[in-house]
Amino acid sequence: MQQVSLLTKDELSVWGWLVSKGINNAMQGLSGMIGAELVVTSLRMEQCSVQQAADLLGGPENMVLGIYLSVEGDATGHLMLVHDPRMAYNLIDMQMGLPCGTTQQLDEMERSIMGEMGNITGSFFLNALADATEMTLSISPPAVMVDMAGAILGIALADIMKEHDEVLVVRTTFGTANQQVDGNFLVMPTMEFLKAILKSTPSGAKSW
Amino acid sequence: MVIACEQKCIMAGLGEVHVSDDPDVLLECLGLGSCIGLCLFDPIARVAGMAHIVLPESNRGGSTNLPGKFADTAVPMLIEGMLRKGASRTRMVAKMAGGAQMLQALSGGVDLDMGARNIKMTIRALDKDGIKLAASDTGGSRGRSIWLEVSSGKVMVRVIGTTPVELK
Repeated sequence: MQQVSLLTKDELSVWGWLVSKGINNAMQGLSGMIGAELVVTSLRMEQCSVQQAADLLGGPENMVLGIYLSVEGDATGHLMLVHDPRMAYNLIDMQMGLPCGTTQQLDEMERSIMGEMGNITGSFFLNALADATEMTLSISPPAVMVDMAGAILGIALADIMKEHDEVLVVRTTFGTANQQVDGNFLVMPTMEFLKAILKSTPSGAKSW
Repeated sequence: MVIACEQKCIMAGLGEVHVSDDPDVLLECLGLGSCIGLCLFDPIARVAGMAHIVLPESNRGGSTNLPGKFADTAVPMLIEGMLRKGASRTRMVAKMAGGAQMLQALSGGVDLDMGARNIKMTIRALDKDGIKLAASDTGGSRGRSIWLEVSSGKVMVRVIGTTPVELK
């Protein structure tokens, strides 16, 4: 089947510009929380079939730590922070001022720290988008889970698949300069989200 | 059954339906959360099929090339594929896994009940077509994978962090 583009080239440009603003803001927020500068190592915006989405995270059975947030307000969508569990534990150690390798499991306190990281990242990302579009956007309380990548991604994909069999994913990888930690930040908008946010973007918005 | 894909593995991705009568084939659904991995098997014709169901109902009107994604369209489609390969409706038995509730609480618009509704609608669709559900491993809050061996009809399920067990 021939792939049909979910967005026009111009819409993709505007979406890319918005995402770039949001990601930069999100990394600033997360850097401030963990006390180390996080840099974006890659930012890719791609349309893929729903079947291919889990490959972005190492395959459907790959065990990951995911922090899921749903977007609420004038538009709805899905945000996820996804880490290799060992990298997530390193992030927790950095946040708590412990040597990397100290945290080995996810108890209540560690879960709370990861949830707060999701909260900060998602809020900073959405604040940038809300500022640029004058929309009211907020996030749900974070849900932290260690599970198969396919099972976690399925939360967002089931919602997106109500309307489409393709998904537009923004995948940002980030890390510290010394590579002690890295992670993925996924933005998976519904078409309703994209339409609403692109409609609200000022016509003079820059392209990506 | 060894799940190392020494056999020919065919993965049913989200919304996909696969049917096979090749005894060397192993059908699989990996990383199921709220989704359902539905298996059908005819033990005489040795025909097996698997559907990766994502949503309970097809009444939202969105366009799709994946009728296997809805419980109410996936089940008839899977049965039809089995019949085309020589299976008999009266001999078909079903097994399924999945339907977890991945999120325990959220204030957002996410459907917390999706897993339960997928289970319910899949059972209803099987009932409607007179297919017996022989075994299931559903619900809970953990991800699963499911495999179906075409040569024997044996179904294995793995919950994350555990070893695969046969679904009987």
